[in-house]
Amino acid sequence: MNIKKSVAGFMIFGIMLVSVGLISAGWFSDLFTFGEGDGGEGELDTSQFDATVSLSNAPARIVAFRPTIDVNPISVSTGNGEVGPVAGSTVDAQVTFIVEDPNGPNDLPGLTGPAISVGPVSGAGNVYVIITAPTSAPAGSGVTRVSGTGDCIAVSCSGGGNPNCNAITDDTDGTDYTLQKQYTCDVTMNYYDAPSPDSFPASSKNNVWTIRAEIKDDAGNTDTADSALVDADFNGLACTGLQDCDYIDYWTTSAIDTAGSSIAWTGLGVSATDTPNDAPLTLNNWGNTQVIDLQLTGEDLVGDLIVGSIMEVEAFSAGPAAGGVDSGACGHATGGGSGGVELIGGTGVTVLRDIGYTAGGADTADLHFCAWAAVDPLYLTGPTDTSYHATVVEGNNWNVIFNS
Amino acid sequence: MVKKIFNKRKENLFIIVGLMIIMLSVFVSAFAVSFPGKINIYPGGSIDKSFSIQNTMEPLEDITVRVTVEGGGDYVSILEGSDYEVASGETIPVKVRISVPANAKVGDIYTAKVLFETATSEGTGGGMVQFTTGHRKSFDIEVVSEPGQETPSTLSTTWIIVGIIVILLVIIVVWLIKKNQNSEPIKK
Repeated sequence: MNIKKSVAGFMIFGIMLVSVGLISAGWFSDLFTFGEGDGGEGELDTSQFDATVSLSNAPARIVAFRPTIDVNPISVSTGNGEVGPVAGSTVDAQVTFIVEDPNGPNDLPGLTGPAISVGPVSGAGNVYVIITAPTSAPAGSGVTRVSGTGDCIAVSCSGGGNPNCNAITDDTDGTDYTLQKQYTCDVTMNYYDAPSPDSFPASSKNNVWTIRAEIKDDAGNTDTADSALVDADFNGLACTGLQDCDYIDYWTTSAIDTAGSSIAWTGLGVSATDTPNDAPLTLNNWGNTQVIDLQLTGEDLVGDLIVGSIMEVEAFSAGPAAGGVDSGACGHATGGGSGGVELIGGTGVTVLRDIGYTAGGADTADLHFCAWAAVDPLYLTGPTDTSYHATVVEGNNWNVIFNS
Repeated sequence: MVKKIFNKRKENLFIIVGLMIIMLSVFVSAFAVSFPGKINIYPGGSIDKSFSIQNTMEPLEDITVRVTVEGGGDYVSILEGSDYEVASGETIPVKVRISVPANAKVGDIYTAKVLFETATSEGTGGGMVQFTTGHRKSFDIEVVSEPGQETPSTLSTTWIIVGIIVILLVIIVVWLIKKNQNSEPIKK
């Protein structure tokens, strides 16, 4: 009898263990899932259950989003849902959404309705789009960009000519009519706006830009919708890729220039050591990618006047700080000190130089050079010339590769 | 007299060489490269994407950019050659194909590196050092599960736990039965 009780007890215990395991694995939770999207499992998707009863003017509802594209300028590379930054400038993310009004589209803003006033519908505005930077972005997370005055237009859904809308055939007279109106809003994005850490299908909404649209009809009824929470397959027009109607993948752009910079040694004493250059090379970041380091490749300089005269590049070093005696750009392993890296002819050396990206113009960082050694006689080969060069044409130019 | 002139020239040369002027002129070969921050792909999947190269040279000048896959060559291939002419102010696509093997596991991440550097350009004069610039873009390729499919690792983990529990239960039951059988004669 005791054995039977024990076996029964263990069986019950086992069933409980298995049940707990299955629940923890999320098997049962599917039974209680309401809708999909960011609300998470078990949460009601309230946007699907608007049930306002109105005898005079039913509220409009945002029923669909179409894939966001980039315009002004149109990228040659991006696809649906993707926006490509423009180095040092702006690009518009064009958000398209469909609004349906049970009373018909005439009391919606634009075209034959009231004038469009772009702004939050909680205020004087009646059409508005807000996009928000991914919260997991390394810089600029949570930043919002919004549509401004003149950025939104209404597009007709009547006549069946707009593939984004539903044209309904009237049973009585066979004519097409629609309850919908399309809106496109151009939202300006900056070159320094945070790139999406993820692409489609994104593992989390925190890794991509999210989209929210707002609409207000003539009676003051409003609706606000997040693109990820509305039907992506509206009107049978499947989005061309997973999530490309829901989010924006804002690309990364690597754009460092050295415009306007030059470096020189004025009156370089050929027997002197640790001679920093006159002014640093200034690096400007016009993109949204952080540079951690760069690869610097130098080549020997050749004489301007005397054929066969060579100044070896190993006489030079570079670093992130201004050079001094065995310090900054003049300090390196063979010469003593620290902070400088000796250049090696034809071989890239790594120089640490962190260049971030923030709002308000290019982030800049300086790269310093140094003639760390006495060039004469150790680094002069052949007859001595009075000036030397290294050019693209002759193939001995120096090269900087920015790693990102 | 001749010797004196020679010495004078040598002295001048020493002064010039003793204080040399080196100008390192920065030849600005500025261009920008854009691409998604990461690529998600299904096991056995292959997708075509395009880098975007933007010529930002100032003063305006056409450039040729050489594109080389430095890392992840098994997964990334350039589709239309390695050298691309980019007219002043223009932006061009560089098509690449990204693919992973069918036996790639969900969660695997491959890192690719693509180098963009100025291949040819006009140079000027002597007496200077010219710089060219380039970009080395690194990006991850992550293998993700297809929509509607449960992550294999999650499924197998669940089944492993269930299996262990069942086996433990069977062992315990068998052990109890054996124990019961062994103890019955003693009671008698």
